[in-house]
Amino acid sequence: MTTRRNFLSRTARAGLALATLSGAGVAAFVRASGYVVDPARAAKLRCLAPWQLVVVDALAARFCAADVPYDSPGAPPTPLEVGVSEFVDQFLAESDAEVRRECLALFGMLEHAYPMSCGHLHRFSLLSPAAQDDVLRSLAGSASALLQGAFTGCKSLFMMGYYRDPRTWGVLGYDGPKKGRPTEGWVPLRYRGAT
Amino acid sequence: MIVSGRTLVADTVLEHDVVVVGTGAGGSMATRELARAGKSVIAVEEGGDHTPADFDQREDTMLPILFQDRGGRMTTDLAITVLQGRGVGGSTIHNTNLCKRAPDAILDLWTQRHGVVGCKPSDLAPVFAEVERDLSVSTIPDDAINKNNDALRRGLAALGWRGGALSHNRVGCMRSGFCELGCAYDAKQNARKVLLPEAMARGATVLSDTKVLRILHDGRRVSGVLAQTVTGKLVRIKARAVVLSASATGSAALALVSGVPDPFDQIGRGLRIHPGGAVAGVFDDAVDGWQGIPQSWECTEHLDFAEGSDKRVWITTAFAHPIGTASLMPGFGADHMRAMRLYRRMAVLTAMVHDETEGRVTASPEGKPRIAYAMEPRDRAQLARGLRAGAEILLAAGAKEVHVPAVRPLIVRNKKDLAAIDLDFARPHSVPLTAVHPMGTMRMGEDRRRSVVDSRGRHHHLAGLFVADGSLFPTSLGGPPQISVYTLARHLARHVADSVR
Ligand SMILES: Cc1cc2nc3c(=O)[nH]c(=O)nc-3n(C[C@H](O)[C@H](O)[C@H](O)COP(=O)(O)OP(=O)(O)OC[C@H]3O[C@@H](n4cnc5c(N)ncnc54)[C@H](O)[C@@H]3O)c2cc1C
Ligand code: SF4
Repeated sequence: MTTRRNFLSRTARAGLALATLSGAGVAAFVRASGYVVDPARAAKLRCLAPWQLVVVDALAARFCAADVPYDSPGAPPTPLEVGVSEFVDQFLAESDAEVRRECLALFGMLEHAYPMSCGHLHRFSLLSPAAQDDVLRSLAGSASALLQGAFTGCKSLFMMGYYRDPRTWGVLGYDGPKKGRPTEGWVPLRYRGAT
Repeated sequence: MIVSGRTLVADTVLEHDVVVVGTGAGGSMATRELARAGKSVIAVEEGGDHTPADFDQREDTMLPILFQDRGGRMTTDLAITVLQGRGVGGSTIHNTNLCKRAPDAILDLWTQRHGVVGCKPSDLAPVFAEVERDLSVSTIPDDAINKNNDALRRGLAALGWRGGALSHNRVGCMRSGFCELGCAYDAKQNARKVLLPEAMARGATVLSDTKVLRILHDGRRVSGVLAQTVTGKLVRIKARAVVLSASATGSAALALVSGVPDPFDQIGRGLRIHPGGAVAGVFDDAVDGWQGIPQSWECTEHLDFAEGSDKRVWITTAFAHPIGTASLMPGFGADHMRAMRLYRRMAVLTAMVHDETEGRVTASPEGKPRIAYAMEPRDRAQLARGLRAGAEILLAAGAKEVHVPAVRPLIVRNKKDLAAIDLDFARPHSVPLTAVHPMGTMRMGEDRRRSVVDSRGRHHHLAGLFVADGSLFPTSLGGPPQISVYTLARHLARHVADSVR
């Protein structure tokens, strides 16, 4: 039986095998070294490698893309401003080791192997936004229930990273936690039976 | 006294009459009852002890603390999110406080078909009443029905469908709407607040931040448990009785990894979860569904507990905070954000299936629960029925359109569109599903070949091992289970006490 534990690593292994078997796969790996990373951000990472930060930035930009131009009045913050990738890094650092390993393998698979299965010859982070959306749509609509599951899990993580930030709540009209706001005429109850 | 495992500086050996594994609805009730009976009892809880001061009403900080697997627990095929609690008080800390007794028809079914003795409606009625007194259960008042629940009420009235107000265990509720993230105002009458203080006042110990790794036994009788604190210290607890209250997933996984005798291969089988899907109606005016008591009204039009019934869906409201909603809304990027802008105007309903599918809990080598659940077509048909009914209710309440989240998202604008919600549409992986009520992996009954424990909660094959949590249920309940878990734990605890006389 396929378990969640072994699924992501199996998918990643399968994807990587696919990539290495093809000439394009070799080309993708050759280009895998050319990542440009802000050293200040890279220095703060807890579990992502610097190149993975670039991949996670690219995924965040697509998952959490706005419906209006970012320079328009009242536009929501960008995923970069909100620190979605830093959240993903921290979340995975605090998750158990297997979950962490599987998610990192999934990011690797999405970057290097999966775009090729959708007909794109570049790694994910180098594709145009439209091509990146195409890759994510293909993952979401995959015939493989497990790949669909990977999409859903990945999306939830990025949505958590974005919508956790109060600056995004304007999009929703959500007024946030009430704790600490004035509470008229309310007296806290004591634990019944407590001494 | 609550002792955190973090404070132990060395491996430790303890001795008690009874060790209870888990402090949720079942474990806290068993602990309190055993303490009342004068037994020396220790309850071991893998999660931490969180109190109202810790609850900051934010999903990103509370989900990882209060839920198993940081809120990311799923069935092994990644089709269904299974939400369960972790910490002193278990799932009662973050649950939405609905209180309903197990229906008489279900208790009769357990008696007649599953060989359960002593749990007929008339046997349990006085125990239900005591539990309801313990938890201060009352009907949710009319002025506390928020706009999301009012949409359900209006829709039912327009359709002439059956439904009504729900009961809850809250006192002094601020109607803040953050129940699933823990109550910062201490209004929930949960296990941590109501039961454990009395248990501790009577001498019980709660050991938090400590996970039970193994039940210790010689194949015929238990001798205690081996546990480990989050900091890695080993705690050996010698006891004459062990009560499993680690939930329907945790108890079965622990029994399996401990090699508890199971000659008829019953442990972990018969898992029911009430899988649920959601529909979101968009209204002209603001609903602001996150404000106020989250769930206060129900639809029972499609719920009939008679055996063989083809009405097996319970519908209620299910509004989520931003992260939960963002995960549920279909798609990603700009389209997704456009849908999120409807947040204030959305009313959300969930359709939970009173399921017949039997899932199975197994254990990883480290004892982590693995949840296999392949929804059968007859339950998928019920899910489709529930999603259609939910959408119809919202349209009847005045929604302009109803979004049905799915891989191929559907927007329903009139009754004709409902036909698209068919058996094929209602596939796991196609429709995002959530389950919050795991039950039934250590089922009770007198037939040793079809159950794990007897009608007193005693394991059929291992003396001194008892079960007191949601895993006892021989079938699905078709409604919120906490009151039934508390009640069975209270009902059965006296047999544990008798066993250590
Ligand atoms: C979001 C949500 C909302 C809900 N709303 C309602 C509602 O409104 N009404 C209702 O009736 N029900 C509701 N429920 C369900 C209800 O809370 C549960 O059915 C009930 O609490 C189950 O009780 P239990 O004792 O079986 O398990 P739990 O309450 O889940 O407790 C099990 C405890 O055991 C601990 N544990 C597990 N393994 C180990 C181990 N190896 N060692 C030590 N400790 C361990 C866990 O950390 C946990 O604290 C809801 C559940 C969820 C998730
Ligand atoms: S709605 Fe009531 S019970 Fe729920 S969190 Fe707010 S005050 Fe607490």
